[in-house]
Amino acid sequence: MNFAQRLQHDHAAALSLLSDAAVPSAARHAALARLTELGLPGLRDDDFRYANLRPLSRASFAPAPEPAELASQLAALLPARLDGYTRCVLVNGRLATAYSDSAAALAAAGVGATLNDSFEASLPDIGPAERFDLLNQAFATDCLRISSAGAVRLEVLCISLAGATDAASYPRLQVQLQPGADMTLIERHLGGNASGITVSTCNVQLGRDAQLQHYRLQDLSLDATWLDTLRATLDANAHYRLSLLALGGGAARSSVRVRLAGQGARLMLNGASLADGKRVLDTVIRVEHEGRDTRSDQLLRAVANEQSGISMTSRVEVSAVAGGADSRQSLKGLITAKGAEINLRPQLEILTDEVTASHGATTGALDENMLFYLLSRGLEADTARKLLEWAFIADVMSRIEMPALRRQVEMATVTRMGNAAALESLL
Amino acid sequence: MTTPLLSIRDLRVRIGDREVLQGINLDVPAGQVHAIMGPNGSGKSSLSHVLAGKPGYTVTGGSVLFKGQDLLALPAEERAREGMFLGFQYPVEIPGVNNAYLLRAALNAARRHRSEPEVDAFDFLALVKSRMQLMRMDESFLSRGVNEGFSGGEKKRNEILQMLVLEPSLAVLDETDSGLDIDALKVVAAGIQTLRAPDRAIVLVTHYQRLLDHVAPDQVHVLARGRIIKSGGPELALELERRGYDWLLDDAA
Repeated sequence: MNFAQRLQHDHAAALSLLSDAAVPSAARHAALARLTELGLPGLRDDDFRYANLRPLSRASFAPAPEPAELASQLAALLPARLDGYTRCVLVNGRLATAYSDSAAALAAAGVGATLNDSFEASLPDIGPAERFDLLNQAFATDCLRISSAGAVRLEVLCISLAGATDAASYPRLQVQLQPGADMTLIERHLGGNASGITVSTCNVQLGRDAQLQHYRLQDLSLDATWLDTLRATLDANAHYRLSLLALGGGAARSSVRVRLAGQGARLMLNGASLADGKRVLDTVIRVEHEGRDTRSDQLLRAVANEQSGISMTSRVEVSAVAGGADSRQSLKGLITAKGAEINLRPQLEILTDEVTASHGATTGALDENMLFYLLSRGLEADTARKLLEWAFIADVMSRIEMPALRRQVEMATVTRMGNAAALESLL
Repeated sequence: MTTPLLSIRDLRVRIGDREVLQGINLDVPAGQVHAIMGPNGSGKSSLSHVLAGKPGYTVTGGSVLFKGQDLLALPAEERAREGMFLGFQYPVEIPGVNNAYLLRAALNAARRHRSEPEVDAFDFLALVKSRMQLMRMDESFLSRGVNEGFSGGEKKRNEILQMLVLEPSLAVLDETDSGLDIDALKVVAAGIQTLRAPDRAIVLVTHYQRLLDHVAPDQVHVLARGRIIKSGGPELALELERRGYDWLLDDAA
């Protein structure tokens, strides 16, 4: 069966699992039709040039059933609780009430709310680069809707667990902040394995003056496939601070699209990707300056070890009416081995004169002078190398403003870097 | 006579096709301070780098014994753990690695090498703070990136601070005095003096006499064109200050 036939087949077989409450049936069918029309990205498709989509040629799209036994599998995956945060756990895209806070606590954090009608229409279009959102729409088994007008601190854990047969996981989040709301949202993607893909979607709308601090940590198992889409729209003076940390996944692709729609809207995006083995991590970001005096500031770092590949594309578009826009892009890559590959692509399209824009992209190997300096102080060669890799992404880490979370993220990072004992005392 | 701490015999070194050291002979006994002086491009920094194990130099002949063992056979990090310290002429900035971490990691690497337990965090801080006081460095330096945004003088002081924390048997200080104002020079010199001990040796690589006013050397060597062309007591440094190097170069040629 080709891609279209497999989509149709798996969708028809899964109908009983696909509720209207998660995604209305008409929208699902429209998404399926559009995705069928777009098809799988080809080798020459520039939007996916560096992504590893091979797992899709054999993946099953059928949503994974609820695992029969959660406790033992979850125990190893759930991170320690963070003080003051409401916790919400999704297992294979479905709310796992037994592991989440009480319904009352979730409701207080705005989980399960009804979103305003403006939500869908406000979001950036789904372009070919964001096509896997269509896959999520077609197959999502649940949708976590979050709406808040006040101050909320929420942690959403999206956990993919293996079933008996190949099946996919479809976490779906919709976040709507009312004007003036202030939210910290920690979104983590954990678990996963070679036999099931995870297709996640997160849609965000920030009302006027709203602030969202959004930490997205992808720490899936090293053989997992992750296809992720984040779309966000910012109204006037909204402030979106977004951290994208990709530590896990064998083949991971994240498509991020942010509309700075209202005057004075601001995006601060920090991202780090870290890979080893033959893993491929691909991030494609598109920021659209539409309002006047909008600002975007991006700091992206990649460290590729062994034979891994990391790519980061950051496209900034400033429309003709977005005078006073200010855009900064800093992309840096570190290659630590001959077989590793990094592709950094900062892109700018500016349709107005009244703009401040800066961008830089550099990729290089470990600095030999730095390395010698550390060795001359007696550090083990391996420790010294890891330390410099760590230092390379330290900028991004230091922007995690919450100490308890920063510590968790740093520990997760150090663990992935494979010299935890030597680096732990860094933290 | 006891074995010198450092013993260099007919050391020949190339960078690419250029022979930068053309047969160096030098003995530095424990308890002594030796100064190596010489004009620009004479091979002073090359010698320091080769002793510390910096890549990019090819040793084509000769030997270096440190505490009786073949120094050149050891990788840079093991030389450091054996008690060899290089004070860099141009200390490297490493943003993202903080000074405290580097100091502690370096100290622990040496202690593990000597089969000693790792330093307790409290003791470490007490040790570092006392040394920082000596070097007149603010404690805020500890949490900053290694040499990141430090002035030239601060970087040199930081080198001496590292030396004082690590307490090496042999310190080779490569132009640690260059770029220092008088006050900083005094602080750095005081730091170096602190390290003087019967079981340690210090090699000062320098252009100028002025550091030697504060750290009196036992021996002074003149390095030119990759060779030590003259050795003498402290009075040699004064003579060089007065007469320059030309008279020696003419003699040597």
